[in-house]
Amino acid sequence: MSLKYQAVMWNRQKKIYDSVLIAGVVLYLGLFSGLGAIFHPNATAETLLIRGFGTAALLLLHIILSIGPLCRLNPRFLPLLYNRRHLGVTMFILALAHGGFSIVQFHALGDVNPLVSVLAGETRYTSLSDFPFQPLGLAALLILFLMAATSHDFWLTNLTPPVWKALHMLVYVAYGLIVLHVVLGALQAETSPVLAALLGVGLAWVLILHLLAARKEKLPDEKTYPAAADGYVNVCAVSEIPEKCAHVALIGGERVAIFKYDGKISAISNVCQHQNGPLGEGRIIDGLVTCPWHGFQYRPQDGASPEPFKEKVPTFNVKVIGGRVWVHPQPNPPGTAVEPARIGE
Amino acid sequence: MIRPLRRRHRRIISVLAVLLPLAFIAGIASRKSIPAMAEIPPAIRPAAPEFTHLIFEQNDLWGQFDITTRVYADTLPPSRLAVELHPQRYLEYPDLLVYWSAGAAGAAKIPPQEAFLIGVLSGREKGLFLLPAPALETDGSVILYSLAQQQRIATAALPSHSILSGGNPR
Amino acid sequence: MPVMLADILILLAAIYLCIGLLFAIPFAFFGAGQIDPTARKATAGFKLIIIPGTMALWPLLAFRWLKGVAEPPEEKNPHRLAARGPENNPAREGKG
Repeated sequence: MSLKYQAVMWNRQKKIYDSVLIAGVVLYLGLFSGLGAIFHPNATAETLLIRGFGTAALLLLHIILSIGPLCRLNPRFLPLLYNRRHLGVTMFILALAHGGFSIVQFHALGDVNPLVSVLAGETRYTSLSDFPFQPLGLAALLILFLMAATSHDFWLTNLTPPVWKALHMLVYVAYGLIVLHVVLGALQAETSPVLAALLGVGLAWVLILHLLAARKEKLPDEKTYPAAADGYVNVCAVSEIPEKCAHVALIGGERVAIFKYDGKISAISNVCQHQNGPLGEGRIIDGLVTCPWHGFQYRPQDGASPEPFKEKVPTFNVKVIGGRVWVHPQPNPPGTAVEPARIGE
Repeated sequence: MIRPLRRRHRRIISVLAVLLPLAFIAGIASRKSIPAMAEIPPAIRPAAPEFTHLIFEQNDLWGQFDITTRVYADTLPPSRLAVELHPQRYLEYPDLLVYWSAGAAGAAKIPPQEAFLIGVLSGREKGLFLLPAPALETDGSVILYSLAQQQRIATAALPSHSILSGGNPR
Repeated sequence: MPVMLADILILLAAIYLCIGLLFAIPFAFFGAGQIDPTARKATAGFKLIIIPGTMALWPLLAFRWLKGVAEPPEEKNPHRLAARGPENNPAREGKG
């Protein structure tokens, strides 16, 4: 929730998050350079930096990609999601340093433009072991740039969350390119089984986590609800909804969050206006539906954020008959007040 | 996320879950062994059977580098000499060129102008290099120079020419 | 990739980003506040931080600024489209 844009809306949680992040990156780079200098005394400082930045970016990318599915599988990981964009920007800076040093080291000493040398220096596209792996890294770096450059809320608002999310889902394309860049590049020269095993485990971890989360996510989208003559659909029993929490159901082409609080039932669109977070997985705090992702808040009765904030989500007409919750699938315009259904009436 | 993006997300993950493991396995399976220059150009390659007389051997001629150095002669007294360099640990330098230079060879980054290029050394491969004729008449050094890094990596002074040309085994 | 193709690609990318940088400076000071009211009272740090993204997406932003767009667009999701009613929802209209 912001009334004016700043570079970063700092708060205590973000400061702790970023301190841990920066300390972790500095510690990793220090350890990598120190151990590298001991075990590879002939390696130059540039080589150690290229490897250090590259492996740090790769490790951080695996952490970043794990956060989303971990949060879908267990809400205890949600604090990691809160400031994930700073992880992404840090990862881009590490990858940029890796790419920059590599281009200077391997391409800047000739009489050809270094970037042309990256793109056209190697052309054996038909060979796996000699495949031009550097253009793959450059393409991934371009995607990471686009994501880092558009990470501010200004872009989220102006591109709209679905377009912004679609743009940022390019991270999977970047991940694929980076895995190929490493397998066809560094792992062709470094034949130690440990390095290949580490990347293999990382790849398996990311893919298995995503497949598990995708399977869990698919279930609520497959259930359909029968409609009565007045158009209302019978969703669930009141008793199925925990107090100050929601039942989530796919109604009207998207998920609806049906909240129970203070003896009342209200239904709003499950899609947070900020980053399309799942409102139905949040709780009612201080009388307001609170998004589990970044804490954006909405009144359950009208789907509007309290003044002075302006976010609004569509609301749904709802009624309770015989202990069952009925929701009308036609959404009301965002911010429309709807009389909550009283439990027991 | 909204439903169309959840669907797209599932599709992307399904495609990656098939393609990336396949690419990973294919990439690892296609790895070559570490490239090493086993062959040196015939013009400067001494035929090993010609050099059967060992006249000098030492293990600590190269400072921090663990390289065994042997000098062989074709006959006694020698008419031609060859130096054998055998790295005991992997040399982490690409394009390592071997030069012989008359005298102490100085300490400049690049070998002296008049130095003779006698071959290339790579990884842990043993290399036998024909020494030029002046090696029988003047003291000299062997220089390892990294073409990629454009700098001298190490220099080792060979025994004096009188010892080498005398052909006395040590 | 042929060297000529690489040359052309890099030249086009450089031209695109140079135009983007020239556009980004006035946009950060004036344009951003024009197309998004929240950006009117923005800090200097914000103006600096949107420059790389503006360099990447300048054609879209230039179009909105020139067109006089005064508010960010509303997102399109099934609930919001349905809530606008059939007259504002091409998907529903199409299905009659």
